[in-house]
Amino acid sequence: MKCLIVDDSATMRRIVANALHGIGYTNLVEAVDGQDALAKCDGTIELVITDWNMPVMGGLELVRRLRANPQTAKVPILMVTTRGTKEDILQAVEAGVNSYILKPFTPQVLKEKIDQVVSLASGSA
Amino acid sequence: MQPKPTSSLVAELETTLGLLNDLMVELQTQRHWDPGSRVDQILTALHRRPALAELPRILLRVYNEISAALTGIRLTREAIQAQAIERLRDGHVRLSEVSSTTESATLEIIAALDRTVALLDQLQAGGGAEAQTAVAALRGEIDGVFNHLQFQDITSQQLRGVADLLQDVERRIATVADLFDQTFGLRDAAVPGPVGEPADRAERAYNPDATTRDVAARQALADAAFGMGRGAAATASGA
Repeated sequence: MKCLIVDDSATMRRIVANALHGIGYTNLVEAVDGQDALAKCDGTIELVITDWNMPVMGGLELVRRLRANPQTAKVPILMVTTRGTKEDILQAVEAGVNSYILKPFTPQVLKEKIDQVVSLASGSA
Repeated sequence: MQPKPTSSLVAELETTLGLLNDLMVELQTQRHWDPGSRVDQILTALHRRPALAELPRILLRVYNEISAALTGIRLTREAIQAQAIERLRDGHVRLSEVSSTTESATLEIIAALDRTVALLDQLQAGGGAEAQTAVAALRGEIDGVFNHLQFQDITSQQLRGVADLLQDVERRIATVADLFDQTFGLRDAAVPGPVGEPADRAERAYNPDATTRDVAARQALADAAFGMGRGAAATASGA
Protein backbone atom coordinates (compact mmCIF):
# COMPACT_ATOMS: atom_id res chain seq x y z
CA MET A 1 0.00 0.00 0.00
CA LYS A 2 1.42 3.38 -1.02
CA CYS A 3 1.14 5.91 1.77
CA LEU A 4 1.63 9.69 1.68
CA ILE A 5 2.92 11.36 4.88
CA VAL A 6 2.27 15.10 5.01
CA ASP A 7 3.89 17.16 7.78
CA ASP A 8 6.04 20.30 7.80
CA SER A 9 8.13 18.83 10.63
CA ALA A 10 10.92 16.58 9.33
CA THR A 11 10.99 14.93 12.76
CA MET A 12 7.31 14.00 12.58
CA ARG A 13 7.58 12.70 9.02
CA ARG A 14 10.42 10.47 10.13
CA ILE A 15 8.56 9.29 13.25
CA VAL A 16 5.40 8.48 11.29
CA ALA A 17 7.49 6.70 8.65
CA ASN A 18 9.21 4.63 11.33
CA ALA A 19 5.88 3.69 12.88
CA LEU A 20 4.50 2.72 9.46
CA HIS A 21 7.58 0.59 8.74
CA GLY A 22 6.95 -1.16 12.02
CA ILE A 23 3.48 -2.22 10.91
CA GLY A 24 4.48 -3.26 7.44
CA TYR A 25 4.01 -0.12 5.33
CA THR A 26 7.18 0.43 3.33
CA ASN A 27 6.02 2.23 0.19
CA LEU A 28 6.07 5.76 1.58
CA VAL A 29 6.04 9.22 0.01
CA GLU A 30 6.62 12.40 2.04
CA ALA A 31 5.31 15.93 1.52
CA VAL A 32 6.12 19.09 3.51
CA ASP A 33 2.72 20.82 3.19
CA GLY A 34 -0.67 20.55 1.53
CA GLN A 35 0.46 21.98 -1.77
CA ASP A 36 3.41 19.60 -1.97
CA ALA A 37 1.04 16.75 -1.10
CA LEU A 38 -1.37 17.64 -3.92
CA ALA A 39 1.54 17.62 -6.36
CA LYS A 40 2.49 14.13 -5.15
CA CYS A 41 -1.04 12.69 -5.25
CA ASP A 42 -0.73 11.07 -8.66
CA GLY A 43 -3.55 8.57 -8.33
CA THR A 44 -1.37 5.82 -6.89
CA ILE A 45 -1.61 7.00 -3.27
CA GLU A 46 -3.79 4.64 -1.22
CA LEU A 47 -3.55 6.25 2.22
CA VAL A 48 -2.88 9.82 3.33
CA ILE A 49 -1.62 10.71 6.82
CA THR A 50 -1.60 14.45 7.26
CA ASP A 51 -0.87 17.09 9.88
CA TRP A 52 -3.27 20.04 10.24
CA ASN A 53 -1.15 23.16 10.88
CA MET A 54 1.31 23.61 8.05
CA PRO A 55 2.61 26.57 6.05
CA VAL A 56 1.56 27.27 2.44
CA MET A 57 -1.45 24.92 2.63
CA GLY A 58 -2.77 23.36 5.82
CA GLY A 59 -4.11 19.85 6.30
CA LEU A 60 -7.78 20.84 6.37
CA GLU A 61 -7.55 22.55 2.98
CA LEU A 62 -5.62 19.57 1.63
CA VAL A 63 -8.42 17.21 2.73
CA ARG A 64 -11.07 19.41 1.11
CA ARG A 65 -9.11 19.48 -2.16
CA LEU A 66 -8.54 15.73 -2.13
CA ARG A 67 -12.24 15.13 -1.54
CA ALA A 68 -13.16 17.52 -4.34
CA ASN A 69 -11.00 15.63 -6.83
CA PRO A 70 -12.72 12.47 -8.19
CA GLN A 71 -9.31 10.75 -8.43
CA THR A 72 -8.64 11.12 -4.70
CA ALA A 73 -12.17 11.50 -3.31
CA LYS A 74 -12.20 8.01 -1.77
CA VAL A 75 -8.62 7.81 -0.49
CA PRO A 76 -8.58 7.09 3.27
CA ILE A 77 -7.24 10.10 5.17
CA LEU A 78 -5.92 10.19 8.74
CA MET A 79 -5.39 13.51 10.44
CA VAL A 80 -2.49 13.41 12.91
CA THR A 81 -2.44 16.67 14.83
CA THR A 82 -2.07 18.45 18.17
CA ARG A 83 -5.48 20.09 17.73
CA GLY A 84 -8.02 18.36 19.90
CA THR A 85 -10.99 20.63 20.51
CA LYS A 86 -14.44 19.41 19.60
CA GLU A 87 -14.74 22.24 17.05
CA ASP A 88 -11.49 21.16 15.39
CA ILE A 89 -12.62 17.56 15.18
CA LEU A 90 -16.03 18.45 13.75
CA GLN A 91 -14.35 20.61 11.13
CA ALA A 92 -12.12 17.69 10.20
CA VAL A 93 -15.13 15.37 9.91
CA GLU A 94 -16.91 17.92 7.75
CA ALA A 95 -13.87 18.23 5.48
CA GLY A 96 -13.84 14.46 4.96
CA VAL A 97 -11.22 13.04 7.32
CA ASN A 98 -11.65 9.30 7.98
CA SER A 99 -9.85 9.12 11.30
CA TYR A 100 -8.32 11.48 13.83
CA ILE A 101 -5.16 10.94 15.87
CA LEU A 102 -3.75 13.28 18.48
CA LYS A 103 -0.03 13.89 18.86
CA PRO A 104 1.88 12.48 20.59
CA PHE A 105 0.51 9.16 19.34
CA THR A 106 1.65 5.62 19.98
CA PRO A 107 2.35 3.19 17.14
CA GLN A 108 -0.49 1.05 18.51
CA VAL A 109 -3.02 3.85 18.06
CA LEU A 110 -1.69 4.56 14.56
CA LYS A 111 -2.02 0.89 13.60
CA GLU A 112 -5.51 0.66 15.05
CA LYS A 113 -6.73 3.72 13.14
CA ILE A 114 -5.07 2.67 9.88
CA ASP A 115 -6.60 -0.80 10.13
CA GLN A 116 -10.04 0.78 10.68
CA VAL A 117 -9.92 3.17 7.74
CA VAL A 118 -8.29 0.69 5.37
CA SER A 119 -10.82 -2.03 6.15
CA LEU A 120 -13.69 0.44 5.75
CA ALA A 121 -12.25 1.68 2.47
CA SER A 122 -11.76 -1.85 1.11
CA GLY A 123 -15.25 -2.80 2.29
CA SER A 124 -16.85 0.13 0.50
CA ALA A 125 -14.79 -0.30 -2.70
CA MET B 1 5.08 81.20 6.84
CA GLN B 2 7.04 79.73 9.72
CA PRO B 3 5.38 80.18 13.16
CA LYS B 4 7.37 82.33 15.57
CA PRO B 5 9.26 80.46 18.29
CA THR B 6 7.40 80.39 21.60
CA SER B 7 10.20 82.27 23.41
CA SER B 8 9.88 85.11 20.89
CA LEU B 9 6.10 85.29 21.36
CA VAL B 10 6.53 85.35 25.13
CA ALA B 11 9.06 88.19 24.88
CA GLU B 12 6.71 90.19 22.66
CA LEU B 13 3.81 89.59 25.01
CA GLU B 14 5.90 90.62 27.98
CA THR B 15 6.86 93.87 26.28
CA THR B 16 3.27 94.60 25.23
CA LEU B 17 1.82 93.92 28.66
CA GLY B 18 4.59 95.91 30.30
CA LEU B 19 3.73 98.88 28.08
CA LEU B 20 0.04 98.47 28.88
CA ASN B 21 0.83 98.43 32.60
CA ASP B 22 2.93 101.58 32.26
CA LEU B 23 0.11 103.24 30.35
CA MET B 24 -2.39 102.39 33.07
CA VAL B 25 -0.13 103.80 35.79
CA GLU B 26 0.44 106.93 33.77
CA LEU B 27 -3.28 107.36 33.10
CA GLN B 28 -4.10 107.02 36.76
CA THR B 29 -1.37 109.23 38.15
CA GLN B 30 -1.01 112.01 35.62
CA ARG B 31 -4.60 112.66 34.58
CA HIS B 32 -7.32 113.81 36.88
CA TRP B 33 -10.53 112.05 36.23
CA ASP B 34 -13.64 112.78 38.21
CA PRO B 35 -13.69 110.44 41.19
CA GLY B 36 -16.35 107.82 40.58
CA SER B 37 -16.44 108.42 36.82
CA ARG B 38 -16.57 105.38 34.50
CA VAL B 39 -12.95 105.89 33.36
CA ASP B 40 -11.79 106.19 36.95
CA GLN B 41 -13.62 102.98 37.89
CA ILE B 42 -12.00 101.05 34.99
CA LEU B 43 -8.50 102.33 35.77
CA THR B 44 -8.87 101.54 39.46
CA ALA B 45 -10.14 98.04 38.72
CA LEU B 46 -7.29 97.37 36.27
CA HIS B 47 -4.72 98.66 38.67
CA ARG B 48 -5.95 96.44 41.49
CA ARG B 49 -5.46 93.29 39.39
CA PRO B 50 -2.17 91.37 39.67
CA ALA B 51 0.45 93.13 37.65
CA LEU B 52 -0.17 92.19 34.03
CA ALA B 53 3.53 92.38 33.38
CA GLU B 54 3.86 89.21 35.48
CA LEU B 55 1.78 87.25 32.98
CA PRO B 56 4.56 86.65 30.41
CA ARG B 57 6.82 85.29 33.15
CA ILE B 58 4.05 82.95 34.27
CA LEU B 59 3.53 81.84 30.68
CA LEU B 60 7.26 81.30 30.25
CA ARG B 61 7.38 79.20 33.40
CA VAL B 62 4.44 77.12 32.11
CA TYR B 63 6.20 76.77 28.77
CA ASN B 64 9.38 75.56 30.48
CA GLU B 65 7.45 73.04 32.54
CA ILE B 66 5.66 71.72 29.45
CA SER B 67 9.03 71.45 27.67
CA ALA B 68 10.44 69.48 30.61
CA ALA B 69 7.40 67.18 30.56
CA LEU B 70 7.83 66.61 26.82
CA THR B 71 11.49 65.79 27.34
CA GLY B 72 10.42 63.27 29.98
CA ILE B 73 7.92 61.75 27.56
CA ARG B 74 10.57 61.59 24.84
CA LEU B 75 12.94 59.80 27.23
CA THR B 76 10.16 57.40 28.26
CA ARG B 77 9.41 56.67 24.64
CA GLU B 78 13.09 56.04 23.89
CA ALA B 79 13.30 53.79 26.96
CA ILE B 80 10.28 51.84 25.71
CA GLN B 81 12.00 51.36 22.38
CA ALA B 82 15.38 50.46 23.83
CA GLN B 83 14.35 48.39 26.85
CA ALA B 84 11.11 46.77 25.80
CA ILE B 85 10.93 46.42 22.04
CA GLU B 86 14.56 45.49 21.48
CA ARG B 87 14.54 42.97 24.31
CA LEU B 88 11.31 41.45 23.05
CA ARG B 89 12.85 41.10 19.60
CA ASP B 90 15.90 39.52 21.18
CA GLY B 91 13.64 37.10 23.07
CA HIS B 92 11.90 36.20 19.83
CA VAL B 93 15.23 35.45 18.14
CA ARG B 94 16.36 33.31 21.09
CA LEU B 95 13.18 31.27 21.04
CA SER B 96 13.62 30.62 17.31
CA GLU B 97 17.18 29.55 18.02
CA VAL B 98 16.05 27.11 20.73
CA SER B 99 13.43 25.67 18.39
CA SER B 100 15.90 25.32 15.53
CA THR B 101 18.62 23.77 17.74
CA THR B 102 16.17 21.26 19.20
CA GLU B 103 14.99 20.24 15.75
CA SER B 104 18.58 19.77 14.53
CA ALA B 105 19.44 17.71 17.61
CA THR B 106 16.31 15.57 17.17
CA LEU B 107 17.16 14.89 13.53
CA GLU B 108 20.68 13.89 14.61
CA ILE B 109 19.19 11.48 17.16
CA ILE B 110 16.93 10.02 14.45
CA ALA B 111 19.93 9.56 12.14
CA ALA B 112 21.79 7.78 14.97
CA LEU B 113 18.77 5.55 15.56
CA ASP B 114 18.69 4.69 11.86
CA ARG B 115 22.35 3.64 12.05
CA THR B 116 21.59 1.62 15.16
CA VAL B 117 18.72 -0.17 13.40
CA ALA B 118 21.09 -1.01 10.50
CA LEU B 119 23.55 -2.51 12.99
CA LEU B 120 20.74 -4.49 14.59
CA ASP B 121 19.81 -5.88 11.15
CA GLN B 122 23.42 -7.14 10.81
CA LEU B 123 23.35 -8.66 14.29
CA GLN B 124 20.03 -10.35 13.63
CA ALA B 125 21.30 -11.84 10.36
CA GLY B 126 24.31 -13.50 11.99
CA GLY B 127 23.14 -14.18 15.53
CA GLY B 128 21.64 -17.14 17.32
CA ALA B 129 18.35 -17.38 19.21
CA GLU B 130 19.68 -15.40 22.13
CA ALA B 131 20.86 -12.61 19.85
CA GLN B 132 17.49 -12.60 18.10
CA THR B 133 15.73 -12.02 21.40
CA ALA B 134 18.12 -9.23 22.37
CA VAL B 135 17.79 -7.58 18.97
CA ALA B 136 13.99 -7.70 19.17
CA ALA B 137 14.12 -6.08 22.61
CA LEU B 138 16.49 -3.39 21.34
CA ARG B 139 14.19 -2.68 18.40
CA GLY B 140 11.36 -2.16 20.86
CA GLU B 141 13.49 0.30 22.82
CA ILE B 142 14.42 2.17 19.65
CA ASP B 143 10.78 2.40 18.60
CA GLY B 144 10.07 3.85 22.03
CA VAL B 145 12.78 6.48 21.60
CA PHE B 146 11.41 7.35 18.13
CA ASN B 147 8.00 7.80 19.67
CA HIS B 148 9.27 10.07 22.46
CA LEU B 149 10.91 12.34 19.90
CA GLN B 150 7.43 13.67 19.06
CA PHE B 151 8.09 16.06 21.95
CA GLN B 152 10.21 18.14 19.56
CA ASP B 153 7.30 18.86 17.20
CA ILE B 154 5.00 19.73 20.10
CA THR B 155 7.45 21.91 22.05
CA SER B 156 8.40 23.63 18.80
CA GLN B 157 4.74 24.60 18.31
CA GLN B 158 4.54 25.82 21.91
CA LEU B 159 7.68 27.94 21.42
CA ARG B 160 6.26 29.42 18.24
CA GLY B 161 3.12 30.28 20.21
CA VAL B 162 5.19 32.12 22.84
CA ALA B 163 7.23 33.84 20.10
CA ASP B 164 3.99 35.04 18.51
CA LEU B 165 2.82 36.32 21.88
CA LEU B 166 6.06 38.31 22.27
CA GLN B 167 5.57 39.73 18.80
CA ASP B 168 2.06 40.76 19.76
CA VAL B 169 3.32 42.52 22.92
CA GLU B 170 6.01 44.21 20.81
CA ARG B 171 3.38 45.46 18.39
CA ARG B 172 1.27 46.85 21.21
CA ILE B 173 4.25 48.66 22.78
CA ALA B 174 5.20 50.07 19.38
CA THR B 175 1.63 51.36 19.09
CA VAL B 176 1.99 53.12 22.47
CA ALA B 177 5.31 54.65 21.35
CA ASP B 178 3.62 55.75 18.15
CA LEU B 179 0.87 57.39 20.21
CA PHE B 180 3.54 59.40 22.04
CA ASP B 181 4.94 60.48 18.70
CA GLN B 182 1.58 61.56 17.35
CA THR B 183 0.40 63.27 20.53
CA PHE B 184 3.58 65.06 21.55
CA GLY B 185 5.18 65.65 18.18
CA LEU B 186 8.14 63.31 18.66
CA ARG B 187 8.11 62.30 15.01
CA ASP B 188 11.82 63.03 14.64
CA ALA B 189 12.64 60.05 16.86
CA ALA B 190 13.22 56.75 15.09
CA VAL B 191 10.08 54.70 15.46
CA PRO B 192 10.23 50.96 14.89
CA GLY B 193 7.81 49.96 12.16
CA PRO B 194 4.74 48.04 13.29
CA VAL B 195 5.12 44.31 12.97
CA GLY B 196 2.51 42.33 11.08
CA GLU B 197 -0.70 41.06 12.62
CA PRO B 198 -0.51 37.45 13.77
CA ALA B 199 -2.23 34.99 11.49
CA ASP B 200 -5.60 33.59 12.46
CA ARG B 201 -5.38 30.42 14.58
CA ALA B 202 -6.72 28.18 11.82
CA GLU B 203 -4.22 29.57 9.29
CA ARG B 204 -1.15 29.29 11.50
CA ALA B 205 1.54 26.79 10.63
CA TYR B 206 1.48 25.64 14.26
CA ASN B 207 -0.93 25.11 17.11
CA PRO B 208 -0.16 27.38 20.11
CA ASP B 209 -2.26 25.07 22.31
CA ALA B 210 -0.20 21.98 21.48
CA THR B 211 0.46 19.81 24.53
CA THR B 212 1.94 16.47 25.51
CA ARG B 213 -0.39 16.09 28.50
CA ASP B 214 -3.09 13.46 29.03
CA VAL B 215 -2.79 12.14 25.53
CA ALA B 216 -4.75 8.93 26.19
CA ALA B 217 -7.67 10.81 27.75
CA ARG B 218 -7.62 13.45 25.01
CA GLN B 219 -7.51 10.74 22.32
CA ALA B 220 -10.55 9.09 23.91
CA LEU B 221 -12.42 12.42 23.86
CA ALA B 222 -11.31 12.99 20.27
CA ASP B 223 -12.61 9.55 19.30
CA ALA B 224 -15.95 10.32 20.95
CA ALA B 225 -16.23 13.70 19.22
CA PHE B 226 -15.18 12.16 15.92
CA GLY B 227 -17.79 9.42 16.24
CA MET B 228 -20.43 12.01 17.11
CA GLY B 229 -19.46 14.14 14.12
CA ARG B 230 -19.55 11.16 11.77
CA GLY B 231 -22.94 10.15 13.16
CA ALA B 232 -24.35 13.63 12.67
CA ALA B 233 -22.93 13.79 9.13
CA ALA B 234 -24.45 10.38 8.30
CA THR B 235 -27.83 11.47 9.68
CA ALA B 236 -27.69 14.70 7.69
CA SER B 237 -26.81 12.93 4.45
CA GLY B 238 -29.52 10.31 5.04
CA ALA B 239 -32.19 12.90 5.82
